[in-house]
Amino acid sequence: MKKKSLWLAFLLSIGLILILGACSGDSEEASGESDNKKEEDGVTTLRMTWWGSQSRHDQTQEIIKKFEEENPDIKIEPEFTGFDGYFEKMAASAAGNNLPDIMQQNFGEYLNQYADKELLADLTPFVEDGTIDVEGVSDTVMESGVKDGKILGIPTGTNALTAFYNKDMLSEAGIEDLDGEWTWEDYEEISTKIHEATGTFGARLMEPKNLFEYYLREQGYKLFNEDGTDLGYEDDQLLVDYFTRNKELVEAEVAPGYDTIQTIKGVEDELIVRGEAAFDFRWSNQATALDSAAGDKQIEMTLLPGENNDTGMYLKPAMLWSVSENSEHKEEAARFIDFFTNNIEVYKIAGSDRGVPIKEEIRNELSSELNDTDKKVYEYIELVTENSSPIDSNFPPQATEVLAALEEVDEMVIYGQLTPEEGAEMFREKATSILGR
Amino acid sequence: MKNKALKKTIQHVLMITFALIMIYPLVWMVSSSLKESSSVFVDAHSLIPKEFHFDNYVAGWKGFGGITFGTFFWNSTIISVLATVGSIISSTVIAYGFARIKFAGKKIWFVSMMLTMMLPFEMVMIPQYIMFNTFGWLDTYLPLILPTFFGIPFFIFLIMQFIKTIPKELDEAAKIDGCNNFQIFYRIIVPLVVPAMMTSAIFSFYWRWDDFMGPLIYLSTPEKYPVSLALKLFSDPNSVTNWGAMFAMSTLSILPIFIIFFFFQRYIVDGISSSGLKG
Amino acid sequence: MLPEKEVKQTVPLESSQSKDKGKKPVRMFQPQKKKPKVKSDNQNFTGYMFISPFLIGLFALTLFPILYSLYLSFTDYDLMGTPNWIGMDNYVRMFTNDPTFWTSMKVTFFYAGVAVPFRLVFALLVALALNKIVEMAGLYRTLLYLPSVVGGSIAIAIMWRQLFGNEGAINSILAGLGLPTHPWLGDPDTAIWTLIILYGWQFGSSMLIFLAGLRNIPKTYYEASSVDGASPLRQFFIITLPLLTPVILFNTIMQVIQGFMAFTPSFVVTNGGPVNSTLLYVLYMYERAFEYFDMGYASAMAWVMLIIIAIFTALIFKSSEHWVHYEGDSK
Repeated sequence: MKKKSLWLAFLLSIGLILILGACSGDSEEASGESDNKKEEDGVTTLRMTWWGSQSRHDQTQEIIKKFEEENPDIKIEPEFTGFDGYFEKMAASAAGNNLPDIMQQNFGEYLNQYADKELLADLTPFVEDGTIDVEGVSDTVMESGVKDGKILGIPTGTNALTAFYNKDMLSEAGIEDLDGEWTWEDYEEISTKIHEATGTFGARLMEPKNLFEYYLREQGYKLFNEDGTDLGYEDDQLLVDYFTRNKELVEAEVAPGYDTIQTIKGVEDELIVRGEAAFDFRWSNQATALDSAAGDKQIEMTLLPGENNDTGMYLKPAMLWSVSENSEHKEEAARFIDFFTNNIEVYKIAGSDRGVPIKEEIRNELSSELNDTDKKVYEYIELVTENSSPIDSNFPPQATEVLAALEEVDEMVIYGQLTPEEGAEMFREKATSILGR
Repeated sequence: MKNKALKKTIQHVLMITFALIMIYPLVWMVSSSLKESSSVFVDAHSLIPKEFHFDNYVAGWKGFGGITFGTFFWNSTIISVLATVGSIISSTVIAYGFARIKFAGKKIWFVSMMLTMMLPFEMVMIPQYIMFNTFGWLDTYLPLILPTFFGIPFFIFLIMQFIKTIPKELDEAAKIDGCNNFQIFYRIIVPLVVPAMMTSAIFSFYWRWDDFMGPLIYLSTPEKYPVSLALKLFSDPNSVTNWGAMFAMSTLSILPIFIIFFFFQRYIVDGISSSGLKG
Repeated sequence: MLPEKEVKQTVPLESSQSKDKGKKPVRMFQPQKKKPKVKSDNQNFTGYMFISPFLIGLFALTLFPILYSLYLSFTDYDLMGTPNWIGMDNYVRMFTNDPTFWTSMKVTFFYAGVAVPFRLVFALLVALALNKIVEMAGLYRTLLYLPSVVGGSIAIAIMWRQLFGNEGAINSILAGLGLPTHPWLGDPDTAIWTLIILYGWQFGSSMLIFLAGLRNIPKTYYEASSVDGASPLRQFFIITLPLLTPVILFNTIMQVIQGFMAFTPSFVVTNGGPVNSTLLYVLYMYERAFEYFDMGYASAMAWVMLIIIAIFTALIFKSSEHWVHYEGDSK
């Protein structure tokens, strides 16, 4: 009995595998030939990937539907994932020479890595002949998708570093509202006052990944030199000051140390959301997450501190649309990017999910229908646009590793395993060795 | 007698307390699946939600762009069931070969088998992707299912260890009765290693169900995604994550594993001790 | 063909533990006097027939990726470009010029050294307890297996941070008992322990295997030895433990492999921090491969780890000749 059913199961599964194999064989053939076949009927199929969460997946598919209605000759096959694993999947695709036609790309080391390997198509011809209409988009924004003179990505929208603050806590400590003109000393003073008045933390610990770069920019330096072969600043005192400033705040219990930061479970669990800190420096597109978790706390946005914060601040592409070099349908892909950039419907569906739209007309047209959070973000981006300088895109491929080294050293300094001086020296040592490889 | 009853009660009280401590995090997850999405963290310390948000389950189930979790569950079921059937049958056959038959080169093959377990999947996944790409297997379930039909080292080794505990006298007696190796295998060995096979089945099902990396890189059409992959579609560290829905679907995704376990575990415990050796 | 004689003798795990044999009075089968060996050609053929699925899979599917990763370990492969041969450079750099490599190695040895025995002993004890219980056994088994099926999901990460957070469950209990609280995850000295506890907590699979092993021991042995008046403790040492050794061997080897290759816990819960105190080897390898685009180097790291695990496994197998008892080998 038993053995019979076992063999039966075995045969059955072999059968299933064959069927499955046959099925997938068919579909494989179909998709393999689809390009040719479908082109005969005048329909081109594009593969498109992005990462995101539930709302983005829903909205993007709706946008695709709209696009296909207006462009019956193009069909888009969406391939979406969460952020976890997106770039691993892309890496595998790149290794298999199998990148999708349109891909959502991240600014910084990812874009540069793909650019280095010439995996992305130069979109310059499409921008020049108007297939992708970027008329009126500010140069500093467009610049962020350019590498070695080629346009490799069109920003989906913009983002900026933001000083989020809890207005109620500020007034509780008797401090007037902020207008973006404040120095690092002001920041320390305000944080300390809040700490004294409320008993909670005044500030959140600054994590160096983005903030040290801002700190350098604000004083006229860059994190990396022009060709990305070394650090962009000579004087270690800059980093010593940065470390000292943070360490003093932590020691005075105005800001938490890493022992607290380490246990935060996500943006929705941040100290500012819980009312346990008045400041939090992070990207502007996280306003929605912060606001929705913060309940009725009044969270406002302003420029980061520093006398020259207009040189420190910059607009960053939230993400970019890129077309892969191995795509056989670059023009059709470019048409989609144009649609995404210029069609108001896109933003009516998705809001500023992929950053604040890069086109002024779109921003103006949308301004009447924005919700409170989005309105705040748009106004803030407007403020940054007036008070900023172009982003540095000279990040070498090793940038992630250098930043990881900076984080490690920062932790050691805050934990007191190193003095700020030792930390600054150690970081330079590590960075030089990584960049020199 | 009274003493014994008391002892038993204490035993059960201890077991239950212990079990409750062990499953506390699970209870926490279920409770989070009923909380309002944005307050999941703020109210993380309480096990009982302020109000019960069953709508998290509705919001989660509706999935992404029209593809519901019904699809994802079905996909996971197909992958897990086929892979489990494949790995258990082939692993048992192979295990018998390694455990009972003396043949030239056995040690070398056994060592190679052990070695294949010592490289993390993440390190062979790129070459594997290139290979399956040239086979034309991308975006099909073949890379996820077919390899299991050639045996899974973990199960082979496990079943081997169980076969080795079976007295050889049984084989020899059968041999005298005129059985060949194949007959010995399915008449004597297979019935006796059912507990090990069922243990393997439980693991195999769970591993396939839970596997994220494989489906992530091999599948690209969202309609083909399994649950493990779909769960990750909820979260994006840089924008709003619907935590309530994610916890709701995480909770549901454990149910099939739970059912499989509940169904198969009795085969583990009704091992040869009660039935097998009679005959 | 390989030298058959030698192979036969070195077939692993030949054990000569027959000391306890005499104490087991029950002989279900009359031992046969050793028969002349069946013709070995025939055995070779049968053997290869049985393991043929494995061999086909090995050559058709498994071998290429493995050898390719070995090749990559001698290159500067960065995931996207073409790999260039750089000889031993990756290995040299690893041992001479990468302090983080050593940090991760230390963390991993500590982790595996503590977490693996912890999980094994824990799993064995629970399996023994479950084996004794008759009523509601299915329920207990299920409840105790469940923690292992939440896997390495985001849910686990959040739960663990909740449990060991500054205001988390553990600290609440400590505070309630009037004991000092502690930032478990935030302190570089204690963070690794939270991961060790996580590993121990997910003991379900080892427990299940132990349980299956325990159930596999014929009851008749116990009955017979009870008649002889052996105490339960004595029964444990003369029956349970020896007969469980094949399964103990299995669990030990698999847990050593898994312990060294552990990755998900630190990936999702601590991401290696604070100050790299939980940077497990495979996590560091993963970062090198996919975040620093240093796949060649990561492949080299994988092969170093393979050698380390292989040595440990070989040692355990070697030692098992002295302590593992196979009923199948009895004379």
